[in-house]
Amino acid sequence: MTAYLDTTNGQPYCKGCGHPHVLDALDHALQAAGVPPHRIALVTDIGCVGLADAQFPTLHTVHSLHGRAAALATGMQLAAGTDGDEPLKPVVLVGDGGSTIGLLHLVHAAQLDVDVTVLVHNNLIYGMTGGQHSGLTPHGFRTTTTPDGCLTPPLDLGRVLAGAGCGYFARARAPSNELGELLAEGIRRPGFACVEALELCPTFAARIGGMTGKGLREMTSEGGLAMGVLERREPRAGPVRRGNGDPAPALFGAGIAPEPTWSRLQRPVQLVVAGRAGERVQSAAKLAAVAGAAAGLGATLRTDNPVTQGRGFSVAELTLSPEAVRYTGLDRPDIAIATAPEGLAQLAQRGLLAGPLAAHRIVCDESLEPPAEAHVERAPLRKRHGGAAAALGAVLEAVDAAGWFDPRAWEVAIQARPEAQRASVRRTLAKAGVSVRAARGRRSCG
Amino acid sequence: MPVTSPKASRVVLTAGNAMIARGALAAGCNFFSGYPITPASEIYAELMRALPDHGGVAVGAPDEISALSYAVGASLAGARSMTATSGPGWALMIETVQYALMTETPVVIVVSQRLGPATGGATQGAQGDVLLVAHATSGGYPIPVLSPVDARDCFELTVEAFRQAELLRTPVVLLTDKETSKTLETVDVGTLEAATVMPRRPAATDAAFVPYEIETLEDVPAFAPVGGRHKVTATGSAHDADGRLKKNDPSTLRQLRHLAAKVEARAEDLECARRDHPPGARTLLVSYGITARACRQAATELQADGHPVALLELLSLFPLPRRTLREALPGIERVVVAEENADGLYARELKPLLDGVEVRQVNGIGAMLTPAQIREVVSA
Repeated sequence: MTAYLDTTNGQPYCKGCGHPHVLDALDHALQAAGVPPHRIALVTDIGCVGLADAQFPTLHTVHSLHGRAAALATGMQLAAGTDGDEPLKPVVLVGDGGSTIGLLHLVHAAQLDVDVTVLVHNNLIYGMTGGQHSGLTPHGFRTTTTPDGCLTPPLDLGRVLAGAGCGYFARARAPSNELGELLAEGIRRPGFACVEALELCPTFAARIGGMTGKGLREMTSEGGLAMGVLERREPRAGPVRRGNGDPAPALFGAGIAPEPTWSRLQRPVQLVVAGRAGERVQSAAKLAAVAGAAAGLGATLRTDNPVTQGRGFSVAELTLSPEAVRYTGLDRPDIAIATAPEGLAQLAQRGLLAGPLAAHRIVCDESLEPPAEAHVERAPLRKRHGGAAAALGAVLEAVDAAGWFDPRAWEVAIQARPEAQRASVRRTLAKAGVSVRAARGRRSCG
Repeated sequence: MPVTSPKASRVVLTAGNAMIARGALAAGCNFFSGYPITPASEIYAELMRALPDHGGVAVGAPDEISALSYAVGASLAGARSMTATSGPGWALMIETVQYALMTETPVVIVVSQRLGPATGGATQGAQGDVLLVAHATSGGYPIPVLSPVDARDCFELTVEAFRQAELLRTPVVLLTDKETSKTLETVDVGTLEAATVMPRRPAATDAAFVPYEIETLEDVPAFAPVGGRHKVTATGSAHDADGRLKKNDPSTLRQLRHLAAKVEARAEDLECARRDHPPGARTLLVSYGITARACRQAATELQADGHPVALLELLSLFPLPRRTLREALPGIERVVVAEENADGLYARELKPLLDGVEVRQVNGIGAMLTPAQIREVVSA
């Protein structure tokens, strides 16, 4: 078997550094796992760990932003598919620093159980930037940024990732006999794996923190950090894939073939309907928009509601136009409708009840109390149609009275609704006194 | 402009976000990663639903940094990938945008603007991110920015965004806004042009592969996917043509200059605009995104009053529309730039290109600019 690791010029690390031992183990594991070389991708993080790229001259190498190696590898693996039967096998090389800043990427890769192996080079500190403490630095450990000892306990990656449903987690020292085997098992596993290699940074962890090989062994022996395979679970299904090879479904539904003779509108018209969330206010306006489209009109529909979508007001602003609608905002609407107090307040807030922006025709439910200065028609909308259909009933009545389009267009719009909704819309239509069976030679306004 | 054409009319009532998702499918997008944010969330939901049926993969990410990193990783493996966000999410993505630019990895990023800064107003539209998206790189490297005016544009410009991203091997932004994203609108989909799927130029199979090899500064390197037979070296560090880390070597500095040159050399081919210049018009109304619709209305009303006004709707904002302005400016004495932000952000970019004409601005935040506001500035 070919060795992937090129040590012709040695390895570019400080004397006594653990990284060369980790890379030796990686080289062994890649060969043992039997992955074809073109289906291996080494994705390396920033730091000394990133110097590994040049050591593997025949493998794909992607040198990432700091912390993001696992995220790049996740996207890469999900998109790569298979070559024959061979999935892409990204191996992420990251330090304890990269695992700190990019922790959520490790967690999510574990949750997804994506076929990525993360090899954490944990030498207890950030090496390349000068020996600062990381999230994995032991409690009390002295570093250049914790002169009185590290204030926080170290993140236990095994336990963090176990909580994320991690499929495989193992920990070993570097150098050690186990590391390569554990890593090979992780790479073979068709899903996420994380192997944490504990190792020594002679320049900072040793010189400043006083860490030694013996110290590392003590950290990882009985009563210290748990070692070996700590998580091993069955692989879970990844994101949905289907439709490969099948003709792609149509981008759009059937749509409507408009009948331009159904409207004689000469100018844009606007309707605002405002009511209570959950009372199908926006759905009522949408029916009118689709009916307008069936009559060859251009339509736009702006909707508004509080961020809590199931409570409070609901407003819909409809513009119908014989040409494509230009401006979508309100400009003295022809019709404003309020079916509930929340809606009336919104009409008032928009200045549509009185003053220069007041709608030409204002209809509100008889139960509401509009301001005295507003010219409002009150109608038993809720009584006639019920609360949930009051907006629809009012829209149907008002648009029909305005004669913006032939009422046959309503039936086209109803046909465009899911079948289960059609009967109730037709009932409201009947209660509103709109006949859709024949054109009645109505006037068109505008 | 009639709404329907006589043949093959198929009108749907749809929103800009849905048209962006469909445009992506039409452009052959086969990877999407998303994170929820108003007003872009519908693109995420739509592609999670539809992409698997089109042979692609869609995945939810735990934050926007992950979302773009997944998309960039996917593109490195050869996918045509996209993500969608708003200003706050874009802010988190900026480092990864630069990574895509540096590694010459195509990706489309939809940014649907809302009122900022910070959390701002999630459901309040705005056009305040135009400079934030264009000037997001250390060193000022160009990011092509496209900007739809209506739902139909959302489809067509998403296709164009993929074309530009794949052609240039660089991140491209589709910059839209809450109103364009979420307003429902009739679109005659029967008259949409079939999208051509623009392939990335592949590396020759029989030759040695040098990942960032260019002959001239303007060349776009041939692509080989991670996982294919050519050994790929990709890096966000300053690198030579082989992808070797060399911070200030002449070969590295040449690669850096190339990142700008490849876009600048094609700048005029990347421009998209719609314009109308009625006879006798001496004033040019320039706008983009949702505000262009108010300008259309204002121009219609001014024309009806006997005051013809020329109209320029910019569908691409960066690279700056030099060719478009060269064509639009003859005969023009006054330019009015309208956009929904406090001080006229894009107008700052346009002014150096408008030497010798009077420039006026219409700006505001918190509501769509109205035709009346625009008429007032034009007529003042």
